[in-house]
Amino acid sequence: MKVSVRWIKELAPKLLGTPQALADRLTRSGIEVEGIADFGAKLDAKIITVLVTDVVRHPEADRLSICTVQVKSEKIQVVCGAPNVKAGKKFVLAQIGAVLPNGLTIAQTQLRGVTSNGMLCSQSELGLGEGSGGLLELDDETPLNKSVARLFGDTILEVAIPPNRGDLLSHVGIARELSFLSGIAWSSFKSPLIKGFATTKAGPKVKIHNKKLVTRYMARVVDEVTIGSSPLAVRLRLESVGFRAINHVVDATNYVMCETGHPLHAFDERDINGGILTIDAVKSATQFATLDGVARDLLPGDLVICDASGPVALAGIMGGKNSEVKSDTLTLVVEAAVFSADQIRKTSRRLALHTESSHRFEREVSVESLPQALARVISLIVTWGAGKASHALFDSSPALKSKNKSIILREVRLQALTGLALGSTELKKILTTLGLVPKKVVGGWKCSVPAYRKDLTREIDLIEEVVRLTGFDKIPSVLPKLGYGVPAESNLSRLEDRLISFFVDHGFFETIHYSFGSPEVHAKAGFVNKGVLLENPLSADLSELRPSLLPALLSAYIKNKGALLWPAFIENRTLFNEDRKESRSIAGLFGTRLEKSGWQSATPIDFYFGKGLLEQLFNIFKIPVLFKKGEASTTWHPGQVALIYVGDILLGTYGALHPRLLSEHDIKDSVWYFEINGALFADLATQASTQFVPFGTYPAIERDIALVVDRTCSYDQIQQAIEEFSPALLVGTHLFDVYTGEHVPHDKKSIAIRLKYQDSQKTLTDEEVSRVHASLLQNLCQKLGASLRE
Amino acid sequence: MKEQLISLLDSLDSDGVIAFQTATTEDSLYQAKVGLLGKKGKLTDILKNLGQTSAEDRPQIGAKANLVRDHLEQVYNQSLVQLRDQAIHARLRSETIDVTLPGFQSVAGHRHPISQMMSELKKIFREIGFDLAEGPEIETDYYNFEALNIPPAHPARDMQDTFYLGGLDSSPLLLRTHTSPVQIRVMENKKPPIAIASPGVVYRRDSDVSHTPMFHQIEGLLVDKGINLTHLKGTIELFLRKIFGHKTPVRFRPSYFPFTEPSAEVDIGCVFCHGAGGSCRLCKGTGWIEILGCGLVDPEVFRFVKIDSEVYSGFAFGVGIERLTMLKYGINDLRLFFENSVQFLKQF
Repeated sequence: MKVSVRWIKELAPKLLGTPQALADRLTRSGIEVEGIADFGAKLDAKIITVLVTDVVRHPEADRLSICTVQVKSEKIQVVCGAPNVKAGKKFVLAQIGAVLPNGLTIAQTQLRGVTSNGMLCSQSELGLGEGSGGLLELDDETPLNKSVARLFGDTILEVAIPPNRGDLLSHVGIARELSFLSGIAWSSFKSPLIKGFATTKAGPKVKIHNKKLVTRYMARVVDEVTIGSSPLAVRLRLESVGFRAINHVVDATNYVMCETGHPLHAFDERDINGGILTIDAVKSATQFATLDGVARDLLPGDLVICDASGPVALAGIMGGKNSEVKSDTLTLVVEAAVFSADQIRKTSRRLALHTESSHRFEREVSVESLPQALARVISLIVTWGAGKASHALFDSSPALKSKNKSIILREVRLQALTGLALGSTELKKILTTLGLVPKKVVGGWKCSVPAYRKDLTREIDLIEEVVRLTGFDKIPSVLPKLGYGVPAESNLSRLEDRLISFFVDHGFFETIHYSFGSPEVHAKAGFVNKGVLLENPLSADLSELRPSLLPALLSAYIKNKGALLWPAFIENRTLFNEDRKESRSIAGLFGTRLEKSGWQSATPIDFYFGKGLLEQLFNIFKIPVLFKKGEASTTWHPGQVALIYVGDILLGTYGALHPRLLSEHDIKDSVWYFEINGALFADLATQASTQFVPFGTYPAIERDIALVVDRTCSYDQIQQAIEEFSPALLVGTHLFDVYTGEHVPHDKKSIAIRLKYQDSQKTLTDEEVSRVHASLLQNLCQKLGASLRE
Repeated sequence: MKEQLISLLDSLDSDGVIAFQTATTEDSLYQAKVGLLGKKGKLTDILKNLGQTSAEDRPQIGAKANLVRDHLEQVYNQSLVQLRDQAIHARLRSETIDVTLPGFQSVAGHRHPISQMMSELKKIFREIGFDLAEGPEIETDYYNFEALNIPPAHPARDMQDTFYLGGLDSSPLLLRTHTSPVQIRVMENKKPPIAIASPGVVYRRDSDVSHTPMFHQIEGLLVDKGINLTHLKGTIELFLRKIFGHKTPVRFRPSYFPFTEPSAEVDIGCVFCHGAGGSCRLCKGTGWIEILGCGLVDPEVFRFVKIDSEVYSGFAFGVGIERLTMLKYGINDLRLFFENSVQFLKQF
């Protein structure tokens, strides 16, 4: 909210301090001032108010006028291009030597042969808002030859009002708070009013049907209305706090809202069909055009003000196009009300229609000051000569629950929760400053809460107020004694540092992508309708929670491939499946190394490179895994995919990506991808325990064999065959060659394995080994249909 | 005969010296030695004639022969050392490479800076004795808002624009907007004392220069008998000084959060201008930068999890990981964290 410092000081004349000092006071008390902006206060002193005494057309240019300007006792000549310059009117002159806010220095100039000794200024040239274009025309009452900075200059604070402090959404509220914070007595705000309206005529006819959603409704008629513009000071003030000046009536309602925090609304009485306003919740869905000309879909429950033919205002949010104040409006019905905060919020949220009015109603406006606000707006309209108030007042409070709130603050409790040891006198002073009228009771203070402080309902709220006024710096720092045992943590959380570091140490870049992506991109990587759709995504590109990390890692690959010697990426993130279940995945993707990366050749990247890496990882974490041939799918290369098992539990998948999938992403090279179930990995790694096994000291004997088997026979089958036979003395096998080609039939391959025999009790003899070895060979040949290569 | 033999031995000696010294390989040197001094070598041949000499000459000739043998052995050993030296030098010469050529280019991986910061923060919390607790990213309205004292019509919901997943039941599903639901889940299941930190990813429906729809937080919660604002201050100061250095100024400002009361925002002395202010762009000249929000757990939150707020009290605080990381490394654009460009990632 924009706050005018000049306005605040008018409301609380005893308030001292620079704008910066006031801003600091607010910020320190928890009401953050986010910015301080100048509004004319820093204008050059050579920019003054003047009277234009004569205007003639420039002989050489139709659009220019030669003006005679009275500056004190002197008359000077100024050339001006604005159409609204008039003799006998007051304007703003930037004299020679003056510097405008945009940095321009005014100098004597020649315009088509005529000398100009200064510049008449527009509102925007002076940095005083937008205005209506043309020169800033001053009111006739404006004193002459005065500095504009002195007359109108202001400083504007941008204040972030906490959501629970609806009472601060006005200049009165801020002035009151600043007075409390500065230790200055605040007498409740009495705005200058016209005393005693004549009430010779009957008041407006209002019927409140929904008595639950209307706390209080007041209305008064203003007649003999002539619509014009409001005084310059008011227009400037409205601009300074972010409103556009429109006309008398609208400006008056906005002005009073900014002053008191009460949203107000004026209807054109002609447009109230049947002459009766009815306040009720919408009964069946209907459309309604609000002031901004937008047709809104109203649903049952929305609170509206109606006439005989339908809604004329969306209560507390925005008036209707059908009853707005127009330039020829003759009679007004001015409304001041308090509506249900919850209902206003509900409607406003649904329609995505957030207004100055709804913003305040949602944060609860005070019922007690409502008559003041209505009287104030009527007074302004009447004072500005825009109309007459001679009708009776309508006032009804159907849902008003008037209760005098009082809360007991226990001194012990205050000290227990804050660590502050405040003396009784000190505490009483703080509570009094806050307007809480404390009365001593046993062990504490009974405080009565002012009506405008809707946020104070519990003892803890008072404790917070005391801390706010005392300041956190008065509270000592103490470390709590923690001795609650070994900190608990999930297995994955405990392990993930080591896990990610493993890949990073092997050259992977860790990435973090948004959890949501485009359904098309997900589908392109083979995941159609596998994720979770957001109801209200930011954009279609970010509308589906990912079912896999593959799309994200592919995009990292595509984005960075050219910049890397070896593109390799790892990500450790949550996946979401169709049932909205979450799981953690550790996924990695890598491509081939740049062929000519340096002057030396590098290790080639293929399926076995990645497999070796994963085997090393599982080894480090002591997880005994088995790679089994995977099923064909659209994601994986059908001949190069393996499922990673621990017993019969699937831990992950690794393989080359399907060339078709890659070509759809315009990738020509091979790319490998793996994904590991993170939680499962961490649980298995945590369970893994190491048991020492005594090792043999007697010498081992090694025998090499070359088995010729079918090409389709997997190494897995050979290992299984050896394992099943499991000769007692065999302690290790080591594959050292796989060969196809000359000397081996074309449908066969030769597998060369080194077998290691050892006895833990004694030195083996050649004969013993030969016996075992021969029977193993015989068994293998039988089982695998293998022959031995000589 | 004696003279003849002596002269033969002399010429053997001189021939031997030449042969040994001119040998070019270890092998030819050895062959030369065998030819002169071996069992069937020249020296043996000469000494075969010893029987033809007189008994009194023999010792003299014998001594001379020994002298020649010793001398030649010595020359042989010298030549051998020399040849070996030459050989090793030749090998070293042939093996000499250009050590200024670049080394084999090993690939360097990098950990994401957010992940590094998260890991560091978790370490700090473990050290000060907090459990680390996690929770789901898809939450219910109840855990994300209601139980944290943010009822459906509460204006504080504006502070956290929410992604919804649709849902049939009374508590709609959403992406958590903060890590605070974890507090509720833990307090529902555990009796005080409770000391947890919950790190994780959170989502808000907001995207501009200073907001991304996804970011990371870590949150602390301590509930026990007798916990108050002094402990909150002590813990936050310790935590921030562990990250930013032990002399970091820390300041508390009153603030508002629906789930804590009293609440505070915490500022640290500007890490860039160190309080000099002036035209510092980071702190906008104030000398302070906002770093986290905190407060005492609101009694209303305790009511939801059935903890008696007259018996127990506690504090909670939450901090944005991205902000800490940006301050630590001087990163000026939040969005860089999620663009995953290696130009960015390789710097950490």
